[in-house]
Amino acid sequence: MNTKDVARDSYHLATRLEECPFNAFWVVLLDDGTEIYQSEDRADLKECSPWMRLKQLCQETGRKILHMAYAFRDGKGTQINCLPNAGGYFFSKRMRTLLTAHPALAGFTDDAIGVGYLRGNMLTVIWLRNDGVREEDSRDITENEPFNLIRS
Amino acid sequence: MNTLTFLAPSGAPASGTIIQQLTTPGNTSGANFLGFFGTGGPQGAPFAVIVDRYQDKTFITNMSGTNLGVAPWGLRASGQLINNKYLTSNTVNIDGGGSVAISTVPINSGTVLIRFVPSGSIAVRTQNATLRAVILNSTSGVDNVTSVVTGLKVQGFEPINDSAWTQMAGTGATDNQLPFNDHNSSLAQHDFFACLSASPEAVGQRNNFGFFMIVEFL
Repeated sequence: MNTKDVARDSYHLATRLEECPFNAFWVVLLDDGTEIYQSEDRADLKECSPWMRLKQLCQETGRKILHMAYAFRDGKGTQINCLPNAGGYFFSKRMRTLLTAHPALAGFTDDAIGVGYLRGNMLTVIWLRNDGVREEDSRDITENEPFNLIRS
Repeated sequence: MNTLTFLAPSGAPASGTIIQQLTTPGNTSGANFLGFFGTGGPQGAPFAVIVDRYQDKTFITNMSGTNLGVAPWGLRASGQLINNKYLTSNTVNIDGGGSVAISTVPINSGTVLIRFVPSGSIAVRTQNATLRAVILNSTSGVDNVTSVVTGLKVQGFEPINDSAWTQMAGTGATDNQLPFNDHNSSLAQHDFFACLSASPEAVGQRNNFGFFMIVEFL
């Protein structure tokens, strides 16, 4: 079987854009030309997250990610393109909440997704908040490698 | 929808109380604040914490530091939380019981429990969870949440996992956040406990700050 079939049948990953149910989604290009798209989290699988199943696929088949992007089907957002041929790629979700009695901020919460790439030991993450604002942070992962980093 | 909620932990007099209850934007009279007081608590005397000393009582309060055990709030035990008073860099006084090594503090002695539940009963791992004490003012917004509170020392530690306080704010702070251990097991609920202590660096009521919790997960 080729990687596309293995990804779909053994790792339950989306290998065609039509299988991706989201307007905004991550997409990666593997080193044999296979494209993998973000799909729904699956509570019925041992590993719910498609990103973590992609990590398993890469580790178990030796495939590497050449490029990663965060794309928008409707074209309303600007696609986030990660550095090509990076040392690794990262995807995460984030939630924040503020405990305060401040009149304007009490009850504030927000969600975000983060896509990132590794250069040396520095991981650069672009966070896209649910209000559309983008933030970027860089972190040295020498002593604490994120579990959701897929090394190339 | 993901939820991230501040609660009174099981060991607290106000066990199980949701701290953000009655909270709607603009509501400053709801139970949505952590109040650090002197030995009298929010109603007794002295209610104030002496400058450069740490608090003797901790309560869930509104912005005015009101006792919320009375109507219309009626919080259990007036919203009293376990008091974790800073003594030295590696000891704490829990509810006036004397000096205890931080490394031996049980998890349910936390001042607050911060519970993260991802949407859809999905099991996730967490990492880089941090708690910050941030300053807020009339022009503050979500972009300002990395601004550390000033004029107030805030100390914190994570019971079970830490053996020393982390100074989160105030003169001498080296790290402006309390980091929590990563949760490497996939779970549909993640609980973070924090012991918190505060000391004013100047005279006067302080209510222009908040606690900001950040969790990364997948």
